[in-house]
Amino acid sequence: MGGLLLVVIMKKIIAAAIAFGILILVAIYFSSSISSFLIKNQTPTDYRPTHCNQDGCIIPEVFSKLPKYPEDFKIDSVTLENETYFKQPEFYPTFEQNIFYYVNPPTDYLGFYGYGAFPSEGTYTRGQNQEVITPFLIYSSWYVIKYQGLKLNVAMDDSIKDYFDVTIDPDVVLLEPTFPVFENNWTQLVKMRVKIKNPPAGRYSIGVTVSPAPGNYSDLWYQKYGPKYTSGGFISLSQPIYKVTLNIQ
Amino acid sequence: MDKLLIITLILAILVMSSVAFAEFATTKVFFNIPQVTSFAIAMPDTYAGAQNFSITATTLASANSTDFVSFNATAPASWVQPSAAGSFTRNQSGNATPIFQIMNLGNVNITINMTLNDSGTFALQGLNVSVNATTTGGNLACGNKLPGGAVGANETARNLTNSSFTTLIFNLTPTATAACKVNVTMWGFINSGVTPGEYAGNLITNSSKT
Repeated sequence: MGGLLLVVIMKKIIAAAIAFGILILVAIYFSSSISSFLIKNQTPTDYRPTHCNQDGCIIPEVFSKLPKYPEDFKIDSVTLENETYFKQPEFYPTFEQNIFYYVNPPTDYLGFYGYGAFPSEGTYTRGQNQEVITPFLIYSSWYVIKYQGLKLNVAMDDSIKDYFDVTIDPDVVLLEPTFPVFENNWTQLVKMRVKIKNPPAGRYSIGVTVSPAPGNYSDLWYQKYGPKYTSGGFISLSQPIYKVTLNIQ
Repeated sequence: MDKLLIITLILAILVMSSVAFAEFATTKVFFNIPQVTSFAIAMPDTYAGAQNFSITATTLASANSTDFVSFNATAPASWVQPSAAGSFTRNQSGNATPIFQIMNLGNVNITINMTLNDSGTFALQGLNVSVNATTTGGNLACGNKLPGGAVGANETARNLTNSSFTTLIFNLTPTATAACKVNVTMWGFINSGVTPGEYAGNLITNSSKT
């Protein structure tokens, strides 16, 4: 009698456990579906944090031409190639320390020219006859009001030129202004492709330098943007804007 | 047997639940060294004035898309101060209002070069490079070195040669505050035969007012 009762109780427990499990799975399924439905059918929420200093906060209009700030914003090798992330100024480590340009900009000077690269270096280990595709972002510096046409050039020592085939895509870019608001194309993804031929094992460096955009590009952009456009060139950096180090095994 | 069944069911539910929640798992990959190389050049102006959005090249006879700085004179002249192209109210005023301010907006040191490709009717007569770090107590706050090893000192009469780059600043440290900038002040020498609007090269236009 006691054994029979135990079996009945056990069966009820099992039934309850199964029912509970099914209930949980159904709840998960529907909550996920509802979430997906909501996400797909509503305007994305802008999760951008407020940026303030002792003088005030950046007004939302400054970011109005950018993609919505994603809820899961993060900086990593995946988001580096996703414009929803990399077009956010917050993606760049130096933005926060320069928010004064947008909170309380200088009243006597304006930025006319300037660019940057993030990251500005990469390191890879590869073997013979392999390939490296290294992405980086080239962007208009904070507080720059001009459209800038830039040519990206491969820079490497003559002694290693036979060891690598290097291409940059794109190698001509138009960077849009970052002031008074961030234009949508203020930053652009660039990929450097290095085909390794037959170098001796060792460490090699290949850089990217910047020069004015070629005349046909500049002419076109000047026609479109007039004096808001510049191709710069009279002031430059002595070092590459981006450098990849290859450890060849 | 019943106990085994119960344990199996519980485990199954747990496993299925973990699978159901798997979509919420996240993976983070960080750059080891997020280095940023960046600089910007500012010129006298104010956004409130917005002159830069209405500049036309018509005030300089043959100014083109690269017009940026003009040395203007109606007759041969020395020590001519530049102005932002197209707006002669946006002038350099000696060291008090340099024509360029250069900021290191990255997080690594940078070295800045400058070039000038003049047309033969113009020569750069003087070039001062200094560091403005007034709110941090002095030039050393910017940590830069000028060519020759001096720290934060002014220079005069630097020669900029055609189509080659001259170093303005070595190892300029990142601009941590608005006050830490490199000031570049230039003076031009315009000799006889200057042609109004004559193009001097790159971002520098040598011109008479038209």
